Amino acid sequence: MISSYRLVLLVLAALFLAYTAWLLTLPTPYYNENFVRGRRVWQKYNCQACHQLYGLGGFLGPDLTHVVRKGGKPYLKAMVETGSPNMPVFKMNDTELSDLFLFLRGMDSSGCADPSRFLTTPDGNITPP
Amino acid sequence: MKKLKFPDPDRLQVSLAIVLLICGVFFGVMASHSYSAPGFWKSWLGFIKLRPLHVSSVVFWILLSAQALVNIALKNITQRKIPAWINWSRIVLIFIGIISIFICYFNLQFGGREYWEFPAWIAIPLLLVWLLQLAGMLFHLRHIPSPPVYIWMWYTGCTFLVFTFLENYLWLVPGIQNTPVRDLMFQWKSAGSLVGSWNQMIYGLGMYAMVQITGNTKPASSPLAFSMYFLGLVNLMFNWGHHIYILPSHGAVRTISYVVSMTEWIILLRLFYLWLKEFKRKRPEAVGMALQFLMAADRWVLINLLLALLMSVPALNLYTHGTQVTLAHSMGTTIGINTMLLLGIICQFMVPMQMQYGRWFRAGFRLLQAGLIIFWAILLLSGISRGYWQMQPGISSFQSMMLQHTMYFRIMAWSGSLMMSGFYLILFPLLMKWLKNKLPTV
Repeated sequence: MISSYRLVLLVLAALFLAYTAWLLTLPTPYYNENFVRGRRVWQKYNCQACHQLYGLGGFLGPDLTHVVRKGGKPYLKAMVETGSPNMPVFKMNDTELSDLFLFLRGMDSSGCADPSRFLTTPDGNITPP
Repeated sequence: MKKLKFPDPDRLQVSLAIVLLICGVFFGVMASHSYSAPGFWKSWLGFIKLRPLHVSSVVFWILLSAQALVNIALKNITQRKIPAWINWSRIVLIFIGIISIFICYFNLQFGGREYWEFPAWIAIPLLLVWLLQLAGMLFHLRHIPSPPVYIWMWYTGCTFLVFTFLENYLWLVPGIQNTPVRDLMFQWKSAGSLVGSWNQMIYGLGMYAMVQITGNTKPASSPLAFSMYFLGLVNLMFNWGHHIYILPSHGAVRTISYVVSMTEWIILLRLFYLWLKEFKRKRPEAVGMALQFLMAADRWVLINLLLALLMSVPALNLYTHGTQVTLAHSMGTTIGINTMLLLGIICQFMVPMQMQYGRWFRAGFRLLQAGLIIFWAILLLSGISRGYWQMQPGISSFQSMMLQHTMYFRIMAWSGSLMMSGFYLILFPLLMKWLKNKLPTV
């Protein structure tokens, strides 16, 4: 019995590794070095503690996937430099602010994060807009 | 000359884990007050520090206690001790990792990602901790001729923890860091599987504790137990996609995750059947705290699994994704299931029976359950309300939606405080006895 359990475990592990490898080969939007630097700024100031991207992250602030559509870089600069009752003021330099903006612009163009725009199918699945 | 006496490393690790739980609960309650009182402690601690402090403390409470309890259980089973250097290197690395994390958070030095916000270099000692854990467990393996299912769960859980922990740092690799969709997909693949991995270890411990309490070893080696184990493993490997249904990844990722998640109905129905059986059975009037915690965890598994199944239907997920419903599920899982099981196992392994019947212990247990059910329900209600808001774009701004939820957030913060008092009534006496060296390790 134990040997057949071992076989099941091996088959599952092989399937899991194959699935992981397939995920790595999927075509996906690719961005330049500014985007990577901007993501580091996002992580350095721990924006994810309060904000979300694609609905993933903290709940205290709004989702920022499409925030660049609101008012571009000036809006972002104003928010970062003045804060809000919940949000602290961040002292970012101009390069960090530009990189963060490019990161958020990249996120905006990567897809749609608005759940209300998704379509549902009769089997309970969904399709992107 | 008097010989220096060193404490047992696993027992020391459980004590450290309990200290982390005490801290984690405190930071969590403070963070929840930030929702109802904007700017709460903003200048001193603030949500930006409180959230990672809370999450890391609680995550390490779960990981470190599970690790140490598995070691204690393996030592009991094989009656062998692993080389001392493995144990002590692990303990030293744990202390280096945890202290570094706390120093970084208090000094606002972030750099990592959600749940692992500390700078990436701290992952090195933490990875070594898990590799040493795996080495110690492999030392025991050859002394277990026909392992019951809980042994399988401990070893697969630990192996997958190492794998998913490494996967969690793929964002450092060029080719992943330039691709936001792939990056987010792997972040949530590893986060989902990591929880599944520690669940394997903790559920295995729960089963081992039940075997110890009932003295019945048969269920742990039955084909049914192994079928449930493999079903859990399939879900660990393939159901993580329900975290990212709205991410623009390949449609197959969504479908595979949806189909695999639905297999959990089998687990739910089986649990419901067992619960009904247990309900009809006449129970003894007084049971020790170990069994109380294990039974509470059983109820929370049932409630949370039902919620998880509903959230895994993509059409319903649109209403719950990014809302406090997700938070209700993660709180119900980490507190209701993981923490209840771990506390039950700690009681079973280390707390004498007369202390388990103590007045403060029982009062703490009741406060904890009452606080948790209110906390969970209010998160669910506020999440449903937020879900309705996000599916009706333009009805009100984010700020006014949050203002409308103030009452929910107040109840959330005060029920969290109730839960904290319950926790402290249990944990402080336990820790005090431990420090005075009055609790034995079974």
